[in-house]
Amino acid sequence: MKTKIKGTVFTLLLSGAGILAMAGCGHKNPSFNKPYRAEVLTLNSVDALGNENWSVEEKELATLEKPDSLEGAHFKVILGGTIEINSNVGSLVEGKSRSENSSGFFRFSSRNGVMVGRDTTSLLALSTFYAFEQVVMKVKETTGFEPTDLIGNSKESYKIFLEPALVDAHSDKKAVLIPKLNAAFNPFSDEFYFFRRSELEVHPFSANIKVIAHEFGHALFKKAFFKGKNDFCVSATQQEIAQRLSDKFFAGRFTNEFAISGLNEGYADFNSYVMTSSPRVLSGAVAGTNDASRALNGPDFTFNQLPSEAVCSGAFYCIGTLFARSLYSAAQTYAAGSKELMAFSRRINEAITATPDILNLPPARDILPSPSASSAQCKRSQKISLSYDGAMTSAFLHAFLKSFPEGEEKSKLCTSFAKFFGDSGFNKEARSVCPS
Amino acid sequence: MSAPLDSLIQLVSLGAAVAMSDRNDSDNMSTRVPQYEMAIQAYSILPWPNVHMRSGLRLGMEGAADESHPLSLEVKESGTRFALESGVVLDGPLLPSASIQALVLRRSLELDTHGTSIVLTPQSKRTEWLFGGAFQVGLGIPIQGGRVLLEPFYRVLVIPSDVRQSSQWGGEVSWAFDELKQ
Repeated sequence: MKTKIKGTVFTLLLSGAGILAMAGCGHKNPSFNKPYRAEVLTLNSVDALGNENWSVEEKELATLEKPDSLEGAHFKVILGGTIEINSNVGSLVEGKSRSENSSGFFRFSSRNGVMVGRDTTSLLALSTFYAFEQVVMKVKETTGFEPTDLIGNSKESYKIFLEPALVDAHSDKKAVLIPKLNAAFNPFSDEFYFFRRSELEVHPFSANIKVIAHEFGHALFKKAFFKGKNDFCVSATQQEIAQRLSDKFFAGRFTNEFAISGLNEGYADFNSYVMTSSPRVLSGAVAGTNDASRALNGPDFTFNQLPSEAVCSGAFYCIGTLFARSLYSAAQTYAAGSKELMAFSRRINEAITATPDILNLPPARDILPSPSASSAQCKRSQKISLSYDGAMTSAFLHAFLKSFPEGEEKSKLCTSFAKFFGDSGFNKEARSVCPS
Repeated sequence: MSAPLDSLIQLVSLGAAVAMSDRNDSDNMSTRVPQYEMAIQAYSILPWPNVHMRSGLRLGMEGAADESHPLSLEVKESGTRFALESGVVLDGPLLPSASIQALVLRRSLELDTHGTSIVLTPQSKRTEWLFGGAFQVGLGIPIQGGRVLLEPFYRVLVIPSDVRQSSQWGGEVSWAFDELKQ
């Protein structure tokens, strides 16, 4: 009997080892076939009153190429990863991804061949892919750029990090942070970051096409204004700093300037409106917050009021809101989502593309302020200077308008800029480009 | 109990356990998932001194994870699990043990929009079956003359279609119907 029991124990242990070995064969999603379809959370429409229609439904992922790893023709979704951050300005980040060797992965099941997320993370990842795809598919119509022309540095596709960790590149301790409630674009490495989902988000940022279109707007601004390449503002010797003070176009200056950062944000908000028809990029994003000062149709404020945080407390974002509201105001002739609005948006984009070259010509070059001491040292301002930043926006708006086709739209833009930027942010010299 | 089994099974116990596992939500974040179990175990003699075979059945229930999720959407996961286990227990002042388990999990997934106006696909609920195994080590602390056993344990989980959870730790209390026969 004892021998029998001994044999039973060994049999059981061997069976168990076998179970563990088989179980350890690894994770695998089911196979899916083209055209890939997935169940995603999506914003379907926004009505004239701003009411949003969201649903979870089956959609085609037309550009998806590798369903298991969510790699597509234009971008790749990466779960986790670590980002080494040098600095950040609003939703623009300077740094690089240190690791994308994710131990995280997407878990899908198949329902009649449709990809279905088996957990919240995987559902959001599919939703992110779909929303990005919708944005990329509109790029040609709204900007004139081909999606394939957008990425510089010979990269094959954008990387979209979901829930990445951050480490401070300047810290010896290398503490790892898991931020929440934000999204960002890194123009230096063409990476998008959607930070850890939060219970304060109403609709998750990573599936919110308004937020995604805003972040993608930064990629478009990079292509248009920065000619596809943002220069780092690198630290310099005292002698080099002294030289920079008289060089209005030293490398990396505009990447760091408070006002240009604001105009970048404004362009991104306007892009979000053009692509989604919602003038409120942040509405319904974070519970309990008032997005009125950021909304394109929110209560008016002007450039001269910006030092007062009572009207707008978002630093350079407020300059951006003025720029976005100016564009939005001039676009009111066109219905949201209309072909006319798309054509207007393309003209805006063409003008921004020409702006940096015209900035280098008089009179824009003369309106442009010489770099401030902090600008020459690559230090970012934390608050607005009406005179310095006003001269910066004046020069930009002048060069922008000079590139814009003559006609009724240009007159409307002039009127809007004059209304929102006033004499400080759109000064007399800058207005010389407007019809009298 | 028939005579052959009586000669094999020395003791039967009923147990209740609470376990926790860290579920790797993404590369950087894990959330804690509780699990509650009931177990029935039989101790048998083995041809080695102070070594007993312990075999049993477990029925468990996964609790809600403490994960953060957006206000409007969450894939709620809940499940029951069934395990067959077999292992050895060393008799002594403390009772170290090692066992293996074969697991079957029935998991319910529900798309929950928390009362928001998101329109859902008709099939917002579904069920999946998962299979796997576990290796468990524990240390039994006998009290009340060995009739009650407190046993903290640690498990290595291998569930191929859900490798988010790779380990589990917890504690079990079990009540013996009879004392161990020597």
